[in-house]
Amino acid sequence: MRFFDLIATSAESLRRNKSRSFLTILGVVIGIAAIIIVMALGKGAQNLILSEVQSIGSKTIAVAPGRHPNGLSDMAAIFTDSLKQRDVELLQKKENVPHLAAIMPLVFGSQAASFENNSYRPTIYGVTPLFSEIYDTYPEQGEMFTDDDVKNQNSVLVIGSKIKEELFGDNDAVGQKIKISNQSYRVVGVLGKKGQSSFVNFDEAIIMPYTVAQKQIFGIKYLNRLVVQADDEVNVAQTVEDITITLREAHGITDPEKDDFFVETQEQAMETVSSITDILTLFLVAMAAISLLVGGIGIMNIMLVSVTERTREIGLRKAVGATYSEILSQFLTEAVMLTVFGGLIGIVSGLVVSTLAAWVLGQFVAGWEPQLPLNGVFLGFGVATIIGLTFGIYPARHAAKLDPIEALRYE
Amino acid sequence: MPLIELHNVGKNYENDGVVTPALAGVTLNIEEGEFVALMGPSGSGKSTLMHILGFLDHLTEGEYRFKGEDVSNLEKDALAMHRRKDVGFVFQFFNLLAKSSVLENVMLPLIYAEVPKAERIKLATKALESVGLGHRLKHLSNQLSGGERQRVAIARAIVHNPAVIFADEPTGNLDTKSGEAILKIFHDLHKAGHTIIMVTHELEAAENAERIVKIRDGKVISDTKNHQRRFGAYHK
Repeated sequence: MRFFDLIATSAESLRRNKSRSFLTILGVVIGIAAIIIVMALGKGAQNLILSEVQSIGSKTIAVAPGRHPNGLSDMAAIFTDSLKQRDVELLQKKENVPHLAAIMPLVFGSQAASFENNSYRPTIYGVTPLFSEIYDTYPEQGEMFTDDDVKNQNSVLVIGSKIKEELFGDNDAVGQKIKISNQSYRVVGVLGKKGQSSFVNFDEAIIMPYTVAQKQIFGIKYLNRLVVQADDEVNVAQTVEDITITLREAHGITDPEKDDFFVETQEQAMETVSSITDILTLFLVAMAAISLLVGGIGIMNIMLVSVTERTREIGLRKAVGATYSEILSQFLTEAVMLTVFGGLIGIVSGLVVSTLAAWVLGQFVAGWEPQLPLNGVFLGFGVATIIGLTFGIYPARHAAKLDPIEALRYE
Repeated sequence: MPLIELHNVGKNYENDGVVTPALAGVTLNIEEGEFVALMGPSGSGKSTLMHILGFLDHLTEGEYRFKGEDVSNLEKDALAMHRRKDVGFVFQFFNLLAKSSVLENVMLPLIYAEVPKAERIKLATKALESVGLGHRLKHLSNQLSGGERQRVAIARAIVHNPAVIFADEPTGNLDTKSGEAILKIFHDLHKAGHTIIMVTHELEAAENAERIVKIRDGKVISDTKNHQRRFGAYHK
């Protein structure tokens, strides 16, 4: 039998049973569509998070206390107090870290803030004026506090746009005094509306000198983070190494396994985010694959019914000279055509649904872009073909093995 | 050289260790161009004999030569090759593909013989014209009467110009008038030089053949020339 005739014969058989063929492939359609949707949305979420990481800037290096967590049970390692003011001074020295352009200590935490009868619980960031440059966030009204404010521990702060609304409404905030933990702080600036960026919602944040936050608000002597900027992207790796050497020496660490700090670059953060979202997506794809398995079994079932129904036809085909492999190929081709066609419908409907979902999500989450998961499309086609072959082989062998005499007599 | 030579052919069916003989010691030669009727009551082994002759079944004893070639112990695929090339079947229940057109049904053997499509249409049309159905090419086979269906089946059996046409009770499922018409077609095919082997238990049908082989209990009990052919004697 010629290849084209094989295709034509199989297509003809499917065409004769249109509605059954369609119902048979529904399982595959849904399964493939689910995979496409999960992959598209997974990629959308990943890109969104990655773009936030990227907004920190590729020259930025973060130093955090504790070890890089090696798993959930290791999370406690993050909460240590190993980073001190002395470390900042050591890192600032040119001979220790030559490519360091700027360093900003960071402490953060949550604390209630009030003005007259209004109160709100913002996240408080203790930083230096470098903050504006690193996060590209500047006051819209008033001004940023100064290095002198940091040095002299002046009780001043800059508030996010949402805090301003909650505490002051339409009234002017600059020059007013906010109460946090029974201490008064003068508002010197109000940040412009910015929303979520680099994992920080600046609209709901209060920014103040870290020296003040450490001493008066959190009552701590250590730092939560050191944010370092290298002078050039090409020097990031060197700078990471210099920081590591300097801090190990300062903390008296000889065994790298016992580091009480870890240094993370934007690149590493992006890798971490990618691997987490990849695992999540893979997990969801595996769930969707279960419906494909069920769909495949459905196809096998219907193909077996079809073989039984067409026993006489198979007998006739054998009587006019069809060989074992020709009957096998015909039924296998029918199964693969069914699943590939189902896969095609699944891919198209998956793309439509995921685009719609991305559009809806985009209305709520700024920066959510629709994604075309090309690997999902190829995966869909591949999986559909494999399902056709896997679940088609048993019914096809069943058909090919029929004895022509008995098949012709079958009632 | 005879077209078909059977020497001491036997066929046993084995089921759960119980051996049932269907044919035993059948020796038979059939020449090219002969019209032979295989007669016998049901269970006599005539169908088994036709299946062996038509490459649908294996023999278990003896020897079968087709055109001089020993075909006694062929593999399944080799049997299939002989079926697509050397034989054509007409069945009692027509065995047409119901939802396919008359033309498609007749073209079926040519698909397996790997004949190009244009040639398939030409040959199938010619075969259908020869059985008087040239005007019904596009009809679906289930829109036809029983007699017409059997004519389609005959066209399908002759479309690839096989060496032998096997007919298994070809009139068994037809009314008298349609049956007569079918027998007339076999008569004409024989006249045109085709070798025909017809299995039947009806004497009227067998009387068309020029030779009647009677089978009972798996054995040939008589093999006679028929001198009273119903559509008249003729000379080749």
